Amino acid sequence: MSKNVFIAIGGSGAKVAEALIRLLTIGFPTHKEKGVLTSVEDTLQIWRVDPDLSAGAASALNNAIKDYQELQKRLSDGKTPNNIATSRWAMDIDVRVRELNPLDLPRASDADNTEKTLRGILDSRYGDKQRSAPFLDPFYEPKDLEVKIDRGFYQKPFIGAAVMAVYADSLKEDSTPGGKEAGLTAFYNNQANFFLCGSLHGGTGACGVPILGKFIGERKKKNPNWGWRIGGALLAPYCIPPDPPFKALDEQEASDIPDSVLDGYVDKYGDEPAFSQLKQKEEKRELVKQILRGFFADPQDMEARARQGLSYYKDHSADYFDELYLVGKPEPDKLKVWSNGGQSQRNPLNSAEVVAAISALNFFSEANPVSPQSYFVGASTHDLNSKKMKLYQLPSFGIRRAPTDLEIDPERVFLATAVMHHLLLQQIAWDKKAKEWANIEGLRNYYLGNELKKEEDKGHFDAAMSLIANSMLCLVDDSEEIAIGWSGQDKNQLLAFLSAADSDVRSITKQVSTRWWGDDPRGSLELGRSSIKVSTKQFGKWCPSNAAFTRGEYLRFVWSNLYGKIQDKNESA
Amino acid sequence: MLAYIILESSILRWFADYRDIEGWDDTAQNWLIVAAVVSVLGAGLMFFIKWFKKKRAGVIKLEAWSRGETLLLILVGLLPIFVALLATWYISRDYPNIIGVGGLFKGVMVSWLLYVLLMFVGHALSPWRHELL
Repeated sequence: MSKNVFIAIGGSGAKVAEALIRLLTIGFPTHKEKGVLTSVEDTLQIWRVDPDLSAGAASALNNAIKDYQELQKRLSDGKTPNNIATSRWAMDIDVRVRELNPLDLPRASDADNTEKTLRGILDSRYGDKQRSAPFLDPFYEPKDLEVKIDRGFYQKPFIGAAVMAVYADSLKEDSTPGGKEAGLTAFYNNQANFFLCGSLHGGTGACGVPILGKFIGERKKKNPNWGWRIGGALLAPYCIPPDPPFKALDEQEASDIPDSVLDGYVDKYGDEPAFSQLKQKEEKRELVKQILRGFFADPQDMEARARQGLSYYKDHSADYFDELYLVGKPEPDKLKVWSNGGQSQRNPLNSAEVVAAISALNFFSEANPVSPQSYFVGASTHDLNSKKMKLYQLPSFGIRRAPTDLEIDPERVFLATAVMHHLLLQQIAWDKKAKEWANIEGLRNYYLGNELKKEEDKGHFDAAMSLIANSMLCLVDDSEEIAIGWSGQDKNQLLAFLSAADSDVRSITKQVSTRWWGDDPRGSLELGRSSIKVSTKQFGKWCPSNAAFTRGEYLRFVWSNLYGKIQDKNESA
Repeated sequence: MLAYIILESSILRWFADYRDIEGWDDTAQNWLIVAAVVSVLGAGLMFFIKWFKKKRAGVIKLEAWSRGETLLLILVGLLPIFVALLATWYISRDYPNIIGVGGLFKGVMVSWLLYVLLMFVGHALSPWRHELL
């Protein structure tokens, strides 16, 4: 059992956390236990570090967690605690995302730290400090000190770095707002895997990952017997926002913008998506001011900032990490809607975020212990079109505690889950009494004489499979409102497995049916480059050996057996 | 022994409408044997159809038969038994003349009863017992 903490820093970090939850929802394993591939008995806690409390990415993450909680509830028997999503299907997740707001710093008095600007935060009296304004002025321009930072750091890590450093320091005390929320002291003397994730080129992520990595890394170095591991995924530019509705002014004009000019912009652009979420006129004026002063993500600077970020890691941060992953796209995807944070920043899940989430699984599964001196240069295959990825192009990851080295292929995970969905819902005679079932002895005996339980379980399985199907499609949809960077071929293939339409069910049934004699199937089922040959008779034989298994345990057992039967399409042919 | 009991009893009389024709008892006895054989063949045929449908389905969902489906199969089996007996009765010279229409229906009733009994016993003794009992 391993205790994992995913620290999502900034918007990109939160999107990767969402992708991770979706991957766990559909059954990605982290270890092998008693011959079954599973993630059960591991735990996960999510910390979200972002001053933008109302970020669209946070809502999407919370929705993914709600789905996960509902799924786990459906697949567990008996009462489950309200705060932990637990079942025998997948790992336990603490459903309360720890909201670590870097602006929520210790305060000397109630009046302290109320103004959410750099000057307001750093010029604090906390800890009997003298005023720090004289030190800030040489390093920051007045506009940097005055801009509101409760929506993030506008892809300007030099603004966030100072705040983040103070905040990280506050985490060591349970009495501070951040320390109370994170509860880091509970991890003292316990083995834990900390995985930090954020962008290289953004504001919050770019400053948060190295600073928090250093903070946790220092504690780890001081206490090597705790068994902490620290991993990180850095997201290089993988998507670029469109230009804002209007251009920034030059520096001189931007230094003093009259209210009448701001109002003119509000009147003209107030209906743009980025503004329409803002209720108060003052908020809209603030956003106009931010744009005019250049406080927004400028796509032109991203690559340079990512390069600087990498250089910083090499010189100052890399040593604190046991494993560090870098994910990016040679040609970033173009987003359609411009936003400067808040509820309006609702980006679809990107295939790069799914790759980063898989790197987190690789880290959590403790698969590849490497020498701190070594490094890998990962490279995409030459035929990879990062705008139209396919599941087989996702990186595989390793599994610990397996008797032999075991690589988990994400495409196979998707196929196993999709086939499980079909077999469970379309190939079991749920409309008949359990005693009438044939060739599915384990489940038949389980429900024999308890039709009510069977009916209840069918309802739970229906709901659970619907949540799993939704998560699968959320990850690989090509509609651009839901996910971005996928070819759409995998989605179309998956849809047939998830469908209850007669024609789809008939065509799959033909493949999973047996010939006159024996249990071997007539055909095979395929997804991308993976293929599985399984008959319903083979499926019917799979059942956990203990008599009182739960729904989640049954599904996991079936899933693991399905995964074990998947082969490369060319190999199986 | 059983044949003797049947011969000596009045059962045969029940099957023959026209008993004034010489040798009516042989014809009635034959008719009774035909009814029994047809019921056995009918039961065998219906078991074979069930087995064939299960084998041809090839998936566990279609291999599960509910009690309703099994009863329907048994009911459907009554028809070929009736047709077989009717055909046998019709193509024979003696049966219409000695057994008559009344004997035909009595033979069909006996054949059906025997067939239903065989279907129930057959299911009870087979792995398909849960599909009927």
